[in-house]
Amino acid sequence: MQSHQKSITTGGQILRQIRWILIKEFESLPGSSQSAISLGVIIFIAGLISVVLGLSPGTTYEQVSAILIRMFYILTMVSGVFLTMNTFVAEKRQGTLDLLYTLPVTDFELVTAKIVMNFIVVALLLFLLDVIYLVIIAETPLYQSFSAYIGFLLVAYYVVSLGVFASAVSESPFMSILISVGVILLIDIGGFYSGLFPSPAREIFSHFHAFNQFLPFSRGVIPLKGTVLFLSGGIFFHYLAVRSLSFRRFRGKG
Amino acid sequence: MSTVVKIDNLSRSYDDFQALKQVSFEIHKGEVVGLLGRNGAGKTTCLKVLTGLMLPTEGSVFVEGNNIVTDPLSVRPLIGYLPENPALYVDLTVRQYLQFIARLRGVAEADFDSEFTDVTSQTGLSNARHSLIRHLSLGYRKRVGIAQTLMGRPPLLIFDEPVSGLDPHQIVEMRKLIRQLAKSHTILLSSHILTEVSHTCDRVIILHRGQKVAELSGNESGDLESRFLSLTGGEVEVGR
Repeated sequence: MQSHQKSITTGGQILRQIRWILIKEFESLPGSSQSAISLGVIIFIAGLISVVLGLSPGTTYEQVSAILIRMFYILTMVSGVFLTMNTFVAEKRQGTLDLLYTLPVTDFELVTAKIVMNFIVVALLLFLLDVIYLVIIAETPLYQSFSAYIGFLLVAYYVVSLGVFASAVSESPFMSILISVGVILLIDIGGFYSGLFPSPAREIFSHFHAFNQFLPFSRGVIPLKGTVLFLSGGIFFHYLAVRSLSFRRFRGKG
Repeated sequence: MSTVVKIDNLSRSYDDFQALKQVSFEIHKGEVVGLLGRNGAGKTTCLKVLTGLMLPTEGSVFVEGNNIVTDPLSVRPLIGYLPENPALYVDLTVRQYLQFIARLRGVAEADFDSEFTDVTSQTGLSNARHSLIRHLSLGYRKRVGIAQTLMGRPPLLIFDEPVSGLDPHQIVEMRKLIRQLAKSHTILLSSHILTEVSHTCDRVIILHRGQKVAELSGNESGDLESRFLSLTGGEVEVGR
């Protein structure tokens, strides 16, 4: 297994292999209708929300900003789940995961490249949404737009890692979505009902409530607790995705 | 002759089913070796272990002295693997696809163009260099699959059922290509078609129910059909 590998790979080699996979991913992006459809739907929803808010009488810029940031949080989750649903499922279906297993590339490099690629797409999308809808249309203060964007990026890493993991253990995009949404809801529902549990379970569940942890970002604050949660969650699912690929190889289902 | 592949008491199980049972053999530099057996004999499992797609349950596999289990990253650049259904990124052009493989195999950017030209000429892909893979026929896709195995000049090529799905004309061309590649590579190919193996291989290893039942050199393989039938029993696909 990977942990027993004798060959020493340097950081430079790892980054180079990740870069080559990333370039390939971007080269094949124009041929993939799924990404274009997902992004189009997300931008359409964002536009629709802002038009509805804009047309509502008596709505202030502050209210519009607060609602848009919350909606963009949900869009981050949705775009992360939809963009990653096919990541490894398509590789398995085309048989290219077998090919990658026979090339001098580690499971870590493979998973990291996939996460980075999807993260870049979500980050660019959110940047556009942030600038167009928050900064220009809703006239949200820059510090608040910035903290919200940092929050979006952290949530994006968390949900993209989860999506890539779900895709690594699934045989179909539908199953991948089901796993991602299931995990998100499970964690959020646990957090929402944390008050029903005795201490210390209450504090633990409350800490994992992603939406509550995101709220300070929407108010212009970059909280340590939320940052740690999203980063550690992302790293956790990143690790699980690597392990699931290694396990798949061990089971011989490459 | 130096040993390129050394397989020693290799076993592989899938839950309760033992697909390979203590298989041992060696392949020497410059040889074309055929792995012959009926469907389900363990040929693909053997190739998958050899390429690192699967870990063995028992036994050891060495490629040019490197252990496939403990040192897979040293072994992978030494092997070019063509699965039965070529694994291709159909949204890429032939050039983009081969460049991706070459980069992962560590081919320097400066060397890529000359290697790409050589490999595409060798595999008859010169007129399809910039075509999208999704627009290519099965015969051409197999060629792209073979071209992929050649990027980075690995010394060992492993072909799983290289002629499956090809028409008779393409089969003849594929045989020629394999013979041509044998001049500069060691080749292990699997097939369940007797004529295929007898036409292309210097040596034949027969697998039956996961076990090696015979190893025939070139001059013994003239009688391949009767030997195969007596060793494995039943009917066999002789050719097409």
